[in-house]
Amino acid sequence: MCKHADETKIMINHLLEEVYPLLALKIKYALECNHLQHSLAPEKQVMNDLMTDIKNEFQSLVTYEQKLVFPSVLKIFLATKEQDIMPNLGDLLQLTKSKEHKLMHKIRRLALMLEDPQWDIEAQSILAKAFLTNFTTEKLNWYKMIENRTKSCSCFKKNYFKLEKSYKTNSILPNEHPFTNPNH
Amino acid sequence: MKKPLHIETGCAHCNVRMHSVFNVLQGEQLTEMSMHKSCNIYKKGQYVFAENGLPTGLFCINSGKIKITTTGYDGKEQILRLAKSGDVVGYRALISNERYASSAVTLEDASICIIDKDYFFKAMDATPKLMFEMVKKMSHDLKTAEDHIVSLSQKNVRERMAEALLFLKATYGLEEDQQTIMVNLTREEIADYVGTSTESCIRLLSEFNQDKLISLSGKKIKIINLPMLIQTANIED
Repeated sequence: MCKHADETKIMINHLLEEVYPLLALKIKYALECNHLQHSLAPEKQVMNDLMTDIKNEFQSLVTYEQKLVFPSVLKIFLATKEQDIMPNLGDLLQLTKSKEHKLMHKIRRLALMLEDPQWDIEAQSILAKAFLTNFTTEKLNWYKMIENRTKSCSCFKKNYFKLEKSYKTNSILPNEHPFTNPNH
Repeated sequence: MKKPLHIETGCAHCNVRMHSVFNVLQGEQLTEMSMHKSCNIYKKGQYVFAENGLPTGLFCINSGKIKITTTGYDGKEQILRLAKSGDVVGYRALISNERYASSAVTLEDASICIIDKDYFFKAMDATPKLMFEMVKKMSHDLKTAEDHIVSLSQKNVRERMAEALLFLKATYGLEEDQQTIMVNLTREEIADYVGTSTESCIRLLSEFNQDKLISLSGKKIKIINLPMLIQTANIED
């Protein structure tokens, strides 16, 4: 494996072992916080449902990245001519971005709800802030890194564009290049 | 807000009364109701009542269609239901003595009567059949709302199943037929990706099979209608 593959592995580990567990913990605290549990506000159910949606959407995103996306990225570094079954990384990243978009939409809804003084809950404010800043920054770095690999890492670049060419005809999304809009 | 045009009609001669909750009223009761209501013409797009307003009576649609809407947390309009001639609207806030939680806006030119609040309560007191009709109407609307909730939650699981199949297709690719996903996963494994129970996963795959989105052969999954699967997954550009 080239040094870029090792660096990619470090970045994946950073996301899976540091960034995501911390966010999962913040979701847990926000869901279990006393203020929400004992709130008498009529919109309590709306807030509870939104928090559960965020938890599910985030868990789902982590599952796909951990089981399919990250192993696929690492597989691109190892691609050889003999291997005919290769992941369509472009589509995988588009699907991931679509999930991130849905998750961030819910986070923005949460942030909007928190503007109402009745929802002045610290745990939830921390959660919204963590997604709007840390998560967004970390994912931006991830996409930037992948983009850099397609430009500067010869083994990744060669295999990625070879795969992109072979998948051009059956790509599921009518979008442009997956790395053109990392913020989605 | 434009002022609606005022017209007069008697309830005894109303052509939609028999399809409304007031079909149980007769003779003098109808004459009395006519004295306690006013009928107005609303142009398309006019508000019949607005969110946060105080109810002064019950609205009965004589002709035309209206939408009942509310504003979501993201500021977007959310249509709750549509109402047509013969329907009564605005009863929830009226009966619970609260402000309107939604707005009613005409979708086309409409003729709508407003029945005075005090008279309406007295009429319900005096006419158990009218009370029963209102309870029936509420139960029907509650059933519609419950169906809507179920359909929304099922839509969500269908969306996640479609998404899972697209992820599997992108990861493992397709066999030579360009349709069959090149991986054999158990229903438990697929359920794990979708985040649902194995039973739900089996039912969903069977639904997709019936809807001709996919076809199943043992553990093999063939994608028959990819555009529809993408649509079901609600993929954002």
